Amino acid sequence: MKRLLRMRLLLIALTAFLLGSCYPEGPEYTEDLDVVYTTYDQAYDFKAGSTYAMPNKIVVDAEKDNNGDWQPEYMPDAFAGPILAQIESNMTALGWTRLPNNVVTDEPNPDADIILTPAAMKNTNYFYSYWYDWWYYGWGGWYGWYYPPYYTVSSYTTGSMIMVIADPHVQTPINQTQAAWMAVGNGLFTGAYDLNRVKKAIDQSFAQSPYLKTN
Amino acid sequence: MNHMKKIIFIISLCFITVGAAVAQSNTTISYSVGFPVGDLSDYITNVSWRGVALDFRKMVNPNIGVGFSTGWNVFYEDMGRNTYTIDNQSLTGKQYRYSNHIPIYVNPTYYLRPDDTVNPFFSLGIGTIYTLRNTDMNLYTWEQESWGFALAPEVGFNYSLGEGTGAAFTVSGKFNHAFKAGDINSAQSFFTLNVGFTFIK
Repeated sequence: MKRLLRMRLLLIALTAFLLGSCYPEGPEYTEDLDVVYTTYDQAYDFKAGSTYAMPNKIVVDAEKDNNGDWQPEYMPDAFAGPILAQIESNMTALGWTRLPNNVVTDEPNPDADIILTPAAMKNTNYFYSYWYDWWYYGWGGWYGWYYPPYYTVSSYTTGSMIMVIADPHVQTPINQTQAAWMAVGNGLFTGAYDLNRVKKAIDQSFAQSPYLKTN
Repeated sequence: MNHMKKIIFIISLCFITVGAAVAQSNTTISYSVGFPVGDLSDYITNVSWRGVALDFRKMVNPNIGVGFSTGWNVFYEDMGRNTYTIDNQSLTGKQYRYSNHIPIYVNPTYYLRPDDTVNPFFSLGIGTIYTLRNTDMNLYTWEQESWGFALAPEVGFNYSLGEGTGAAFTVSGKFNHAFKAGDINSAQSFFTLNVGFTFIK
């Protein structure tokens, strides 16, 4: 009788151990968590344009200077360079021509049909809703864009890469246009910058957005 | 059948079980392999190798036993990296799917040959299955739950390990069917093949 009880306990313990140790494991590497989200304005005609402008720097954060003004902090060129080049090669492949920024002021070429602004979110979501306002406000005399409907800004996580395409020529009463396209790569800049993961995310953003193709 | 009726039915069955308490009872602990069926197999195609089943039965007479059954079956599938598009939104990433099932049944059972070495039985589990479905992407999980009214017909046999050992080797097949409930829009069913030991007291 005692032996039976012991055997029963042993079996229960063994079962519990087996169940606990073999619960499905899910993601194993950080890369397994990488996701790319894109959304676009279905009413926007991407085929109508063929040129774009893009900043030469990527903002990652903003800090208050001595006068209490927000100053953007930029990603080191060693990382920003390859990232911007990757975006450019994807845009070229889709038929777009990049117009150079003003050599002196670095402002976008006014002839550009659309403006593509990339950003990398280093910090908390305090900036997520406003990053264009902080960093590119009035860039080329244009007051930016607002988020597309149904997009929940709070779903960003720290370390996300964001790319936005907007059309500065659309006239609206508030001088802002709805973003025509937006891509978010979640969690890419957590820890060390891994350029390969970032490049993959950029490629994926464009790959899942075939409607960006222009003639 | 509304919820209240279901609950009363289950509770009264439990009382019958207790009222019918006689000397003998048996407890089965099994390793349970799950095969998804229907909507569950649309969600996860993989066979589940992770499962356990626990059955307790009090004998009303040598042929009839009733008690409760429970267990745990986990279905899992790594969907790999894919793009999911809804209207003007696309999301690419690795998706992991988990479906946990915890059945709780009252299990009236009929034993065909209680005195033989091989004693076949059939049973009908009546109760509920708690289903917890998680769809994971990135650090996010989409969680859906249900407590569906459930039926579980079962057939199997006990192979006695010898008179006086009070133990038997048990094999059974059970069809677990939980009706649509909660967050999940379809009935959840799976077939389990259970292999285990029965302790007879």
